[in-house]
Amino acid sequence: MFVSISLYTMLACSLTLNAWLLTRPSTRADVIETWLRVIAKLLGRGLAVGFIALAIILPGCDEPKVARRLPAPPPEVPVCNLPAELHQRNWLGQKGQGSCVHASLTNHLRWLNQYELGEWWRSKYGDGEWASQLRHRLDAANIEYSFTEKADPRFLDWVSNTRTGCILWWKPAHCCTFMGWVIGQDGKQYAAILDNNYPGKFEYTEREQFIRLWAGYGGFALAVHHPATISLPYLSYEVL
Amino acid sequence: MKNNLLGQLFLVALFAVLLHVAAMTSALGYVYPNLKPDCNTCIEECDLELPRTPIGQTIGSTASVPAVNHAATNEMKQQILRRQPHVPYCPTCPQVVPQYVKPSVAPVVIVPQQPAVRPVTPAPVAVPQQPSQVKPVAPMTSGSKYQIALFLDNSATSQRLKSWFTNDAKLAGLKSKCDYQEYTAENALYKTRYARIVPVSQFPAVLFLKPDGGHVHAAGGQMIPGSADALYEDMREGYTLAKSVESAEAVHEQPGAIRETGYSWDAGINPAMQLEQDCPDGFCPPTEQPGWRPGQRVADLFDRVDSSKNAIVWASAMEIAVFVLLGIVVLMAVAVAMKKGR
Repeated sequence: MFVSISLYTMLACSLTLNAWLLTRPSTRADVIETWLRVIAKLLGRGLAVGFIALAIILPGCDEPKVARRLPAPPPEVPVCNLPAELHQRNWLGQKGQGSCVHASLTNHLRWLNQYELGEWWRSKYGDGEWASQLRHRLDAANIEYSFTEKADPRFLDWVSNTRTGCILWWKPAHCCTFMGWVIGQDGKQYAAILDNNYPGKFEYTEREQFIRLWAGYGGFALAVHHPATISLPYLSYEVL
Repeated sequence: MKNNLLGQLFLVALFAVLLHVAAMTSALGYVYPNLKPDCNTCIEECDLELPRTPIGQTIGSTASVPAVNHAATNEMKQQILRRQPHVPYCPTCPQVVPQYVKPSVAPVVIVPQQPAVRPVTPAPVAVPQQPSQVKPVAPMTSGSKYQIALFLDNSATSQRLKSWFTNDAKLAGLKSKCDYQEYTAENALYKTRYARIVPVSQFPAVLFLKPDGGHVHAAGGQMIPGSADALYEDMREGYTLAKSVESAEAVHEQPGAIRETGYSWDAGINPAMQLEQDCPDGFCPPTEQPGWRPGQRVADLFDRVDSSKNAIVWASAMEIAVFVLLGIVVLMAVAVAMKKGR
């Protein structure tokens, strides 16, 4: 900053002196002497203050900032870490049937920050459900989604990578919410499941076993198209 | 006598038949108390509507895999462990654990003399063993979007902030490339997850985050600038700073995977498959594109949004001012030298 101020001061003095010399007849030796005298006068009479102010105002004070990276906290596990207070428990519908599909979908929508939509769905639908009727009802409500009926592991990879999660058929005649893949201490990959019959905790099953069993339960999974809620913010860098 | 004997035999036979029928009926009632069709497995008998035409969006068109239990796909799912009274969800209510109450009248148990049907023991359900010795330590994520979150109240600043991300071209363009969310003080997720990080006293607030939540830029309350352009520049500056610290330590990750516009499910499905696409959300890290040459600036998150930046001279205001002043000084010195040299 001081270098730039000095530079602009010198430039301003040079401009003024040259302008003055252009108007006065003199020899080359006189020019040098005049330069020295004028510079001394300018500095002495405080005109340099005005040029210094001009030097500050004209170019601005933008200097490159230096930042330092800060350590990240441990990552959330699982990636779809719906708070326990928002875990929806399974309930009996009007027909006396369990509403696991609707409870799972409610959990899924809450994670997508669609709480009001989840509440509307919960108030509107209950009892047992199956895949085609679920999709029919989602279509009627203009809710966009993707699904698989072939137990394709890449569908679960996709919903885990995008942090959205999904609902899927899991356990006999049951539906749960898939909350993403996690890596265990043994280095293996596990599926994190939120069972609406056991809210408040996540259940973990090794990946390949999970895929095999999921296929046995029908291999159906469905994810609503909407961004997931944001990750837990943390300060990742500081400006020095 | 003969008639009496026949009559007695007839009565005995009739009594035996009636006893047998009664036993059968009792046995059936004991083993299968509900003779109505089980709607879990007999959908047709339950006369339920079942759309035949698949509707909705399907990912891919992979051939059917024999290992998938398709019969279970359209089986009705309800699965509730305990028959308990309906407890409406009430986040502010004290947690009440419903208790199963046994009926006060014990059911009448009929012991059949001759059970006609042997009760079927259901096959044990394949329940995966819980990994009790395993503790999840890290998520499996690769390729998520940057995130923008607005924390809004009823103030005019909140409304203005929200409208910027809708109406301003730059901010709306940036928003379209990120995961975008809005939260209020009444939002359930905000109360349970973000309230201690962004208190209501800081509203309105805007957060610009990396996919893992790492802060790129944050502004709240009085720190929100007065114009959309200024906010965009602040976010851009934060992005540049965040990138600068990343590049110092990050390992260059370019698996060379070919970016695909959709998902191809044509290959056979097996449990060992892994997703190989690196950018399923539609935004990939810069890769070599046709016509790209070394030294060419690589487009990033902000370059695509800011289409108005076409500087002829790649210099800041300070540098431009220096050049101009130097030029003027040189010209005037030349003029002086020419004049004095005559």
